[in-house]
Amino acid sequence: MSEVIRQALLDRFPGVTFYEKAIGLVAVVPSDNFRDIAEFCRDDERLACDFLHNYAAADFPPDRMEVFVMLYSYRHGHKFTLKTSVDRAEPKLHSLSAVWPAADWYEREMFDLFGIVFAGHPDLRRLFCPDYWVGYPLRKDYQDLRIVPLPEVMSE
Amino acid sequence: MSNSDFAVGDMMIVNIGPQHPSTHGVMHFRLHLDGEIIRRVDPEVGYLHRSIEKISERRLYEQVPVYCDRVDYTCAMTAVLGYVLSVESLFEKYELEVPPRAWYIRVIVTELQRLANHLLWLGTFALELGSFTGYMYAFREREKILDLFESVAGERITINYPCIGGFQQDLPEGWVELCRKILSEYPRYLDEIEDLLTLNPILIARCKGIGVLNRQTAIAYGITGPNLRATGVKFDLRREEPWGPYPELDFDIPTREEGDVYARYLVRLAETRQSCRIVLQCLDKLPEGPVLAKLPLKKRDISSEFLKERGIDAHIRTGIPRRLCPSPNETYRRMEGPRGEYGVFIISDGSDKPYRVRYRDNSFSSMSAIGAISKGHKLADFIAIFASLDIVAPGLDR
Repeated sequence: MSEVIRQALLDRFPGVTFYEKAIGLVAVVPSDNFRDIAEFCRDDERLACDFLHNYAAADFPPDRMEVFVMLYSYRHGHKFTLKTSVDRAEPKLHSLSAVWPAADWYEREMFDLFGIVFAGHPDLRRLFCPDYWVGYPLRKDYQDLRIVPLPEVMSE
Repeated sequence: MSNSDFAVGDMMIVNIGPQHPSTHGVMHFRLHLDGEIIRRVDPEVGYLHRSIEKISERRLYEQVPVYCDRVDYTCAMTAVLGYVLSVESLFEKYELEVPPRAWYIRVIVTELQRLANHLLWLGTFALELGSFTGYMYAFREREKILDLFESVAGERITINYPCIGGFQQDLPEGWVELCRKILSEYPRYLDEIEDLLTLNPILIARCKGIGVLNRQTAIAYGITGPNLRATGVKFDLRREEPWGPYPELDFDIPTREEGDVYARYLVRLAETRQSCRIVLQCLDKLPEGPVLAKLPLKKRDISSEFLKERGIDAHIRTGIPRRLCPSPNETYRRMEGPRGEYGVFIISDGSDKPYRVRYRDNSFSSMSAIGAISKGHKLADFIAIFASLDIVAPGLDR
């Protein structure tokens, strides 16, 4: 099963690399043709991934953030993950909301909590936090300025 | 007309929520109305956002389940079990071997939770369509299941019963007989509810042909669970990616073709009967034995600089408590929750705390699709559509 996925992706995009972990097969893709690869995963006969079942980011300071796109195909019953890295200083990706409508809210959530800007998204607003919120809560270096640390206990 | 808080062009804006009697949960919709017809729905979510994902990054693996309860408090068992299964998949099979009795109890409690969730859904659905009796009947039945949970773990809603490796304690004495008694009476009560609602002309008039979700839209928006099965897709993760004793159990997957509010109602009712069947089979097959696996606890890898900074002598290192420290890995395990795919994505980095945790709940997908489903319907139908999708605010906001 995973051989078919590898072959299908490599035929079209030779730069893709693969690894396997507990999550299953992961295809590491470059961020500049991220959208094309996603579209290919949906339209290709061998892949036919019609169901985007999870779409999440993780922060790896100091230099990068990783975005995971978990795909499933109802027709073939296989699943795999696309992974791409974005520059942490200026995180930017192409939106997948035209490929899978489900991506719309996931991208708003990532914009809200990680500050990743999705180019071509129809309605990129914060999803959970209010619009006046400062900072991106799920980044590792996020600090809520309202939290005042307890004073250190004086000894002697 | 000009654009303001109340109007956009010719369209009037009606706010539903955040506090509204017909939205059980704190949600806010801005409906753009053309006369009485909905042209656009703009859901505003986040009223219950507690950033559980951030909290989980700062807790030990063993401490996170308490917060998972709050991810989705209407089906806490499933929410915790989803996390537990994900953590267990970070270990090799030989490292963490969950005993068979624990697997059976897991199936029993999650199926009971599905029953409780569907009854809660049925009650609120009936209430929002104006049937108070249906609400009382459904809650009466749900109460019995919550009593079963209380006798097993001391809590009714945020149960925190499953833990990594199985369960902290076994089922209490006499519980199996009590559960069997309650469940064998259950189909009769369900018939009663069906008599009241299923053929009720008012309910049919408000549900049939309303909020039709076609198969392509459902898949494109990532909708799973009963909402998807009501559109004719026979997809259930208990069959596709089974865990524990599910492959040995005999149950059907109810589907409907219509995809409207009524179809979603019928699929959920049929599912409760199947859950009953599953629990009764598990009670018969329940093996004896321990319920908790031996956990692969590790001594934390603490560098000498860390110790020196804190002025700790190296020889005290033996006193450092051993913790659950999965090796660096990425995992996502999904399971069939009462309202669809529930999965937890974990990145571990070898320490005793998860590096990143993400909860995927189906309320999120259903809510993102609500605009597409209710476009073109009347304002009054919006309540029926919203009620039928079984959206729960905490699972959506996390």
